[in-house]
Formats: sequence, C-alpha cells, structure tokens
Amino acid sequence: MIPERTFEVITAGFGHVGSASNDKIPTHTDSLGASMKPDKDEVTFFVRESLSQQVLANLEENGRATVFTGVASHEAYQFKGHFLEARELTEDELQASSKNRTYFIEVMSEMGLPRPAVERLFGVAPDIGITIKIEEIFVQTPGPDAGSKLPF
Amino acid sequence: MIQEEHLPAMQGMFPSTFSTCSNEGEPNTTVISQVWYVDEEHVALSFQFFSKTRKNIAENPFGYVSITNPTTMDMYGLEIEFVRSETDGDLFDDMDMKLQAIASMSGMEDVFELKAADIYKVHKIMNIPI
Repeated sequence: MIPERTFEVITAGFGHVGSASNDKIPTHTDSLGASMKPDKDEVTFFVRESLSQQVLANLEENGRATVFTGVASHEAYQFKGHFLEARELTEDELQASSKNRTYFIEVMSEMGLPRPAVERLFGVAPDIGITIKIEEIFVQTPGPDAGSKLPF
Repeated sequence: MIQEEHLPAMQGMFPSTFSTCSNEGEPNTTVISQVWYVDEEHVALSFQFFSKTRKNIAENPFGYVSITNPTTMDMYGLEIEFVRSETDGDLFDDMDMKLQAIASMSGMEDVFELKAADIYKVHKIMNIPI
C-alpha cells in the first residue's frame, strides 16, 4: 500500500510525469493534481492531452513511468512504476484539479510571480488521466534523506 | 538556437524540470534549481546532489529539460546532450553565487551546494503552449 505520508503530496502537489522512448530519449509533462487507490498502489495523474503526446506515446511503447511531485514546503517524492491506462477524468477529479490549480495560483502569486501569468499557466483544466501502478517510491525532499527508498 | 526570448527562463527564478533515462530505459524526472545560459548552443545545469539523474547521464547523455519565464510563464522544452562538467572557473563561480541566492530565498542554505556546472549541448528548443 502506498505510504500515507505521501498522500498529501500526491494529491495536492505539482507534479511532472516522465517517460522515455525505446531509443532512451526522455521527456515529461506537467500534472495538475492526482487521484489514487492506495490499496491497489495506483495513482492517476491529471494532465493536458495536447501537451502530453510524446509522454503518452512513450508510455504506450514501453510502459515505464516516473513521476516527481512536490509541495511548497519542498517535501517531494519520486514515484516509479508501470503505465496502466490513459482515460477521461471524472467530475470529482476535475473538481479536485480545479481546487489544486486555484491553490497553485494563490501560492505562486504570494511568492511574487505575476498573477495574470500564473492564472494563464494554471487556467486550463487537464482533460486526461494517466494511471500508473506504483512500484517504487523515493524521497526527493532536499536534505540527507533525498534519494532514500520508501518501503511499502 | 537559444534566442533572447528564452533568456528570462534561465534566471533561476522558477525551478526547471529535468528528465533523463538509464541505459536500461528507465526514465527519471526531477526538479533542478538552475538552467544557465552558456552560449547560443549550450546551457549549464546545476549538479547539486549525487543522484539517479547523475547516474543516468553517465550512462546515456540525452536529457529533456523544461524551463519557465517567471514573468510570463511561457514554457520551453529543450532536448539536450551532456558535454562536460566544470568544478571551477567563472561559470562555476557565477552559478554557485546564484545558487546560494536561490538557497537563501528558499531557506535551503544548509542543503543546496553546487558540486558542478554540467554543460549540455542544446539540440532543439520547443515552445510549450500553455
């Protein structure tokens, strides 16, 4: 089961879904929230399909996925696993993403970034979910534990 | 290759995202503090921690990094290839000074340490439409 300490970072964090082609050329796309089935070790990351074509092509090609996700406190984790599916988002997931994106806009504006630009970045809703079966989790919070593997 | 419009995204004001791939085809994606303009065809990335990223680049020199203009939030994706590391000299000193400023702003003074300025050749820059 996915450790509880990662739940908030998974669902409320700003993430990046990575993949690589069979030629070993990597790429990534931003995620705008996530939903999870911790007991099944499955997480669905919300992305914009138009910005994720190469990531999706790679995932269909070889199935290997990696996701970095973190929150403003710098707490962050890296999730590695297998691609299960790409699917439409549910109403609940769209609402969750909307809440996350509103939060990102507030936090980044408070950091001094121009609000209109931040709203432009997070104003468009994701339209597809990339579901991954999580197999390994690594701490990515900067500090002495960075890189350590979380048992689960 | 690298044009004036890209430079604001290389000021270290907004974290960049860096993906690599091992020789076995395992991708890795992480966040880095700095993507630094070197010349029209090269950037330098801050190497701060011994990590999977470092191991992957030793095995497979190709990477993908996305950068963000902190004023407009315009995003760019760069396909890059590792060239060499520098651990002293003007470039390293400039990046080290900037990293300390970033660390100070984010409360990470005791954590962030520049181990090397890793120089990459830029093969392609793409606008990421937001």
